[in-house]
Amino acid sequence: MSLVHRVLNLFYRPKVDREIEAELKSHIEMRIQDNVASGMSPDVARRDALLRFGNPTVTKEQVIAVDAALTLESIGMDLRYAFRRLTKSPGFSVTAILTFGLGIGATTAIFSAAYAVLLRSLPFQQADRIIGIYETHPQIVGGAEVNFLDYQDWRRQQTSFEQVAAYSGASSDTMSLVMGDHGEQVHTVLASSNLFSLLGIAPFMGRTFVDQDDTPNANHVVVLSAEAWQRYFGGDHGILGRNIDLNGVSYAVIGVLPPGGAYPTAGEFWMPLSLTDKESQTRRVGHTLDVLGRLKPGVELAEARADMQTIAARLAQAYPATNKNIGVQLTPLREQLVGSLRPAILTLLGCVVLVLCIACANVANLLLVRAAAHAREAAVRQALGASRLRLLSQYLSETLILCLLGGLLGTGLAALTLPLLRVAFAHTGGADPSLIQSIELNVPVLLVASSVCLCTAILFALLPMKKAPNRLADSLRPGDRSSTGRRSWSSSALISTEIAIAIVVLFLGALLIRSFEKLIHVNPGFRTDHLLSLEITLPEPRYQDETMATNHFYERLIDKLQQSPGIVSAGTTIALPFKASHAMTRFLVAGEPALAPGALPMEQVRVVSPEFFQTMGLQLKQGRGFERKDVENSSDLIIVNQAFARRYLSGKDPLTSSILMNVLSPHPEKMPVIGVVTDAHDLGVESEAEPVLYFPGFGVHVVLLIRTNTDPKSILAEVRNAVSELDPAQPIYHVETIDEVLSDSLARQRMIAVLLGIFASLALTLAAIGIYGVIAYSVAQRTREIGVRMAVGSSRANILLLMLREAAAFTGIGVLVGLIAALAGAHLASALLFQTSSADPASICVSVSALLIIAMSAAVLPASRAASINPVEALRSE
Amino acid sequence: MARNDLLGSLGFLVLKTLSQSGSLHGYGIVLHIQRASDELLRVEEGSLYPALHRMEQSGWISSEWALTETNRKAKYYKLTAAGRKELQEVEKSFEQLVKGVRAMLRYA
Repeated sequence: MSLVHRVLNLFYRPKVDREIEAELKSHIEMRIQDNVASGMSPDVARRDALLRFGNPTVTKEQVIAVDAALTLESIGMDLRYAFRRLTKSPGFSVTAILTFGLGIGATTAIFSAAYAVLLRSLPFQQADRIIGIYETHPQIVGGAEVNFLDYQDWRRQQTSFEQVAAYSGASSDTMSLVMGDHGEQVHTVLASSNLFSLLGIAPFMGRTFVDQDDTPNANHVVVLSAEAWQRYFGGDHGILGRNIDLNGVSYAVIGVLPPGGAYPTAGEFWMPLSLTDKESQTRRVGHTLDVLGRLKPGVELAEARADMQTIAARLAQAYPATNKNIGVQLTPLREQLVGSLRPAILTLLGCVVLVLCIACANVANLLLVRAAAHAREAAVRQALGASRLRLLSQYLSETLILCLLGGLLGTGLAALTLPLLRVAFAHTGGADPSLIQSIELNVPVLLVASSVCLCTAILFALLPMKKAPNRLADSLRPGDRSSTGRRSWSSSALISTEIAIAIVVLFLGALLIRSFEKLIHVNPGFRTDHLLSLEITLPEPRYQDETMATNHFYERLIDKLQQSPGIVSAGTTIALPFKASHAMTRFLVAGEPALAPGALPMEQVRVVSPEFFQTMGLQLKQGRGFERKDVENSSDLIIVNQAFARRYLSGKDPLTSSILMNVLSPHPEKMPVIGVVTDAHDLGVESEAEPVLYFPGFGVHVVLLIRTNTDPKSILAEVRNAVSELDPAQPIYHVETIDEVLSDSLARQRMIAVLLGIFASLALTLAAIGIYGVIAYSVAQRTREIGVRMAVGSSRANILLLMLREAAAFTGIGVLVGLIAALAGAHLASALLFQTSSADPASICVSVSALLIIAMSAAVLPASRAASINPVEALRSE
Repeated sequence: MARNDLLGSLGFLVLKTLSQSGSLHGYGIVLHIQRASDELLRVEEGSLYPALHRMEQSGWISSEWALTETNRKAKYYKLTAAGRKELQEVEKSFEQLVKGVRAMLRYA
């Protein structure tokens, strides 16, 4: 109660003051009256009364301190005073707030991305216990999908996981959903019955799969994603139990998944895994499944890995033909969802923290300068009885205001940039979209940002305390020069550090920009402009791979399209250029010694239409291309690319060579090579052109490529017309220009290059501000010294040099230290670099010279002001 | 004991004074302590006031402005119920202290 009373008393300060004064006064007067009554003269009586009473002012202060919460009041006073002081030097305040705001803003934005992608827990039960299990092959980078039979064996033999589940996430399977008169191509995923219970996902409506659904002769059932339910059925609650038509087969809807789409893959229609085609279920050749396992309690990842490797070795022994080179790889689900984004985000976070450090060094420098200027005020306050704690509280209120305003500005900036950041990250393949969408300013992010603000405010407040004089006499002596004659060591160290950090950020920025530049100048082997791609999947069983009906459909479509004036040529293939494809096949060059089945080479395979090469712009180097009759006759002919010829047919005439296909079956087929085409960086710009085997033909699913002589998107209506003339219910999907595909495939690198470029220029700007500030202050402090120097004969050029030498000294040290740190740190980012050494000389030159130029121009301005000082005025100034 | 320490002997004297003579102003309290202790105890008069205000904040005494016999405005303090209870406890622990010290003196 008494505290409330004391706080309330703050608001009645004048009244409380008056009452206390009156009370003390009445005491003294009563004593005087008694003294006089006992015979003292009035003067003596007053003296005696005061003597007995003690110092009335001190007593009054003490009594007030009892009655009112003065600490609170003094904090309020400090804040008001700090605010007045800050508004009195708006230049300083605005610079400090802007600098700090930029640093905090950039840091908050990048940290919120890092938090969403790397730190925040996934929306699954105990997500850290969920492990992705992959098969590995020496010729495939990273983990690959799993064979159906291998998955079954894993499931039976493993002992480390509570559950092992599988889904067909990798193959972008689609089916035609027929609704009344029109069709839609929808994304389907096959999932084992336990996938949802493994992830801990309960259905939004109805049920998910039970084991009976996942048996070969079960009724056809389907589970919808919430998004599919909305999009195709308008969120109809009567959907449960209804039959829907997919590829001409009827499926009963048994459930709807909760919204959010945070599943390990973005499927629309989920079906039991037992619907996997018979070929995959009976042969250890195709690899189509993504496998997840939930670790048993107490089992470590390493134990599970050993367990799975034992099983893989057992399978390799049992089935050497298919499994000899197949290993197993275990990756926590988080890693799988984050994809290649982790090194990128960590690099960005590192750089943005460095930028924040530069910003802080700048503000710290400004504060030091201010503290030096106010040293005498601090001394006077101390002399009048202010404790060091009281001084600290005053500095703290000043830095708190600065940091909180800066923090507010920064958070605002971050909030503005987050939508841009989400877009930038969304196109960087590899990371799960639901993770990217969760990039936001949430409580943990704001907590981190505000604690950074608080900590820096406290650090900043301690800085000028070091400057606060210990010996009062020193700083009160008039004309004192001890703190002004030479620039303080700490300020120089700060600015050198700042320059060193700026060099690190600049160097990293330069490296990644150069790497990106190299990337966009890679010749992909074909013209990417004026090339449109789209996908078509013809519904089975009406159409089948390589049958007359399928061939006719696509041949008539291509003929129709090629008659259009805007279209130069059109052809089909099975994989979108620039998208890493795992369509690979084992083979053997005829005439080579027979190899053990597990040692057979494996390369990319493409089934293409005769027009494909012309459409892509791949040139025939030898032999002939495919013709329509090759497709119609299902001729066993092969065209290879130059990379293939180099690796497998060197020293031979490719046109007389033959390749053995279906090598794992008892009767391999011998197919002659009829042509050699130029290479294309088909798997992505970053990877080298891989050897490719081309076969003639049309599958049910094709990627249709159209080379145009106008804007590729403008012919889309024509394409739709052409398709619907052939089959009105046939949808087309995934319409993109190849330029867009290429640009999307480079999005991650572009984003990092752009962001680091921004950070580098931010670092450079901040460093320039810092250098300018330090030199300008030095000039102001040394006005008198400069005056003396000029009076004894220094020329203006000498003065200019003197000031520039000072700038050169700390810039030089900063650049040297920075270079060492940059070279040491850059190899951490080497995972992000494409054909660029982490000690790239050009990047070193660019960053060092950029910094030197900026540093010198920032120093020249105040230095030339020093050189134009009028010596007479300078000497009179004190 | 802790509460006794907090209050201090000056506080004890003030509470005791007020319990004996009802309502008094600060100057009156000083005079009373001097008289009652046969001029043995003299307080620096100013230091009485922080103690008075602290006790008032604690709710042991209450105050009101009134006129003295010589028609001067002064602030009069008197004991509250809480103050009376406090005084009893302080007296008790003070007696214990005195007893203890006496025992020590005899023993030595």
